Amino acid sequence: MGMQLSSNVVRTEGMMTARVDEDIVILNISTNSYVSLDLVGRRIWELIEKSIRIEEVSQILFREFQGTKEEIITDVMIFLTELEGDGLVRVVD
Amino acid sequence: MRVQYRYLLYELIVETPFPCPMLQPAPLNGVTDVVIIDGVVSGVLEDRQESDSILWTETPARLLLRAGSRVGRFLIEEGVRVTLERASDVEDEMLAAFLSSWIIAALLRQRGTLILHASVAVTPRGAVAFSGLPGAGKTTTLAALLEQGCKMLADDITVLRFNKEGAVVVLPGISKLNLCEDAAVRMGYDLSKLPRNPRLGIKVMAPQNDAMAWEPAVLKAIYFLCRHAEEEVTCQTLRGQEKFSALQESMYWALLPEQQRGCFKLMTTLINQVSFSRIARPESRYTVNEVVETILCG
Repeated sequence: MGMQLSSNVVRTEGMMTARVDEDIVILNISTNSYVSLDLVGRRIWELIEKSIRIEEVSQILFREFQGTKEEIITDVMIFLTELEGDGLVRVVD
Repeated sequence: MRVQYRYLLYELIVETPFPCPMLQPAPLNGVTDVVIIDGVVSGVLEDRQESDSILWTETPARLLLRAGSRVGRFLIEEGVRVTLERASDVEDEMLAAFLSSWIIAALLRQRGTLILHASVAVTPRGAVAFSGLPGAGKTTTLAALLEQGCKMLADDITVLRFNKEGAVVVLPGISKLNLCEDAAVRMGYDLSKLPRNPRLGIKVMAPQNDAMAWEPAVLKAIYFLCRHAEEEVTCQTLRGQEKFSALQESMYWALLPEQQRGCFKLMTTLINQVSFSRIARPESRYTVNEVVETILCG
């Protein structure tokens, strides 16, 4: 089943991460590459440390950052789908 | 009975069956860290059949270097042992050139250090590294800084490790510059008195014993040198992911996944410890003095 607003997501275990200036850098061992997340991405990465509904992630970001609910939901879905494709996030429904 | 020679390279005492007169002799009471012996070396690694390139095949603990029919093969293992199957007519100078470059880099990598394709000077600001593609001006910039009274830590191969305080330091390398002929002439060297690097035929080797800093130094800055079509020297500070990308570009060898994991803390500490900048210089004119001024002014 694909990722939906009602899905629960969590970080994939075992990733090595480090703060670099305002970004967070993640070492993706499976692809031997680095992924960098900016301020908003970093906040999402913090939120998905434990299993959480995407809807809840979007609500928190709506309170903390600028943008309409629709824009934020769209951006969060795109972002998490991309991380899932890189193997950094998994759906735990 | 065979003669073994002992040298000090990047803090390691290396015992070799061939002389390397350009290297620093090891202290008499030092314990040997690496032994190089003559022996038979297979053309493949039994635990990794697939080659990483025509030249080498690698696992985290072993690297097979196929240096060509006129040099031979090297098997570098566990950061402590090298077996050499030399070509019948290879000269000692060529083996010494391989030891001073790829062999020592492979040994140090197996020991968990981080190795950059960069040169390092100790300036009044502290240790400063210059990286960039071949021809970017790393050695020329280092040589110009030495003329300004700075000390040299490394040319071409820069080895980084943690010190006791948890800071990233640069280890003292080999006390010679590998200069292009035109740069050597411009700096006043007599080409007829400088030996040619047997591995890099277009470069000559200029000894720098008096200019060498023999102690590790905390790294303060990395400059990535490149050329551009503009007329001016520009300097741009890098941030966040840009630093990571630049560091990846500067690796002497791309890291294996297991090595990435082992070096991650060193890399991230380095990125947060030092300033990263990209210096672009015009292709159309000689600008080393402007580059040096940019570096010294920070």
